[in-house]
Amino acid sequence: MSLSKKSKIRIVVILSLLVITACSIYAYVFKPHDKVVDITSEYIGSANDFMVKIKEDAKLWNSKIVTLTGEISSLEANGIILENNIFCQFDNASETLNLQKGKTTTIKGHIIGYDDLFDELKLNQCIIQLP
Amino acid sequence: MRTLIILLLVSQSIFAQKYFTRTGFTGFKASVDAFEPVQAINKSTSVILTNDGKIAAQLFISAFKFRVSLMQEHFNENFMDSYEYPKATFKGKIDDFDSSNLTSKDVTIKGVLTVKGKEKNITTTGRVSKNGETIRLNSSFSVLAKDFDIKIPSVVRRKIARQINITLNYELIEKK
Repeated sequence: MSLSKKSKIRIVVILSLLVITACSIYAYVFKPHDKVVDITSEYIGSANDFMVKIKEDAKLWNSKIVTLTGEISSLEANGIILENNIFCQFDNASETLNLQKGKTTTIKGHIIGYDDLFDELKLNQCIIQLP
Repeated sequence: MRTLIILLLVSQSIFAQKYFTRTGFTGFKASVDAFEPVQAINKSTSVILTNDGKIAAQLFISAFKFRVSLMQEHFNENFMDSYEYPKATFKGKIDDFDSSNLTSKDVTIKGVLTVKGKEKNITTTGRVSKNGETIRLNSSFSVLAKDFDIKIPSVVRRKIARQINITLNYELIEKK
């Protein structure tokens, strides 16, 4: 059985359309997570000034990416505390190794919310921003 | 009388030893065999445990991480409405708990779990163990989506289990 040239072209076109659709559906469903490093910060500046904004309306900032500069009040497991009331959690704990208590640093991270238990703002996926 | 009560409360909070973590692990699973696994982990759970066994835990719904980001988006927007209800909390007590002479034992935990503004009483078992200044708490329990008014659209009903299994693993350190 031999196919005419016309039907061969038709099969190739249909097959490639199917492959393209399948690939785009796959890419849509399994698209990777957005990385903090690729997202533009909605606030860049001093950690203390930002806490004033948080006290006004904490909910507004949930799930936003921000860049904060402040003094390191303490070094914790998997993270640091800035200005006594912002806990920044790092995915990669080794990033905090070179940090020192009392020094000023800038971090970029994802706000998860205001934690009533510890009375502090909580960020995760934090990365150190080099000046 | 009032001053006395206030004094009593203040002194209690001063003398009570506390253990805490900000980065506790809470996971859930609502997978159905043969379908894409429905599971996520939260590595940012805040937990405070007092030396007589009172426990308070809080996590943010949006900090649950799924393997598939689209699933995470749907979880936050369609299922949990995490903008309106950003937190889930647990307040309760570990029965017969005494941090001073603790090595490792199975315990019963009772308390109230609040998700999406709905409360539910939970009774479950777990294991606590103490190693130096660290107390580890492991437990798991199941809840139903309908207990918290979580509506599962009919399109995905077959792919998501009605019963949701929650596991937790908290490593608490002593608050100085």
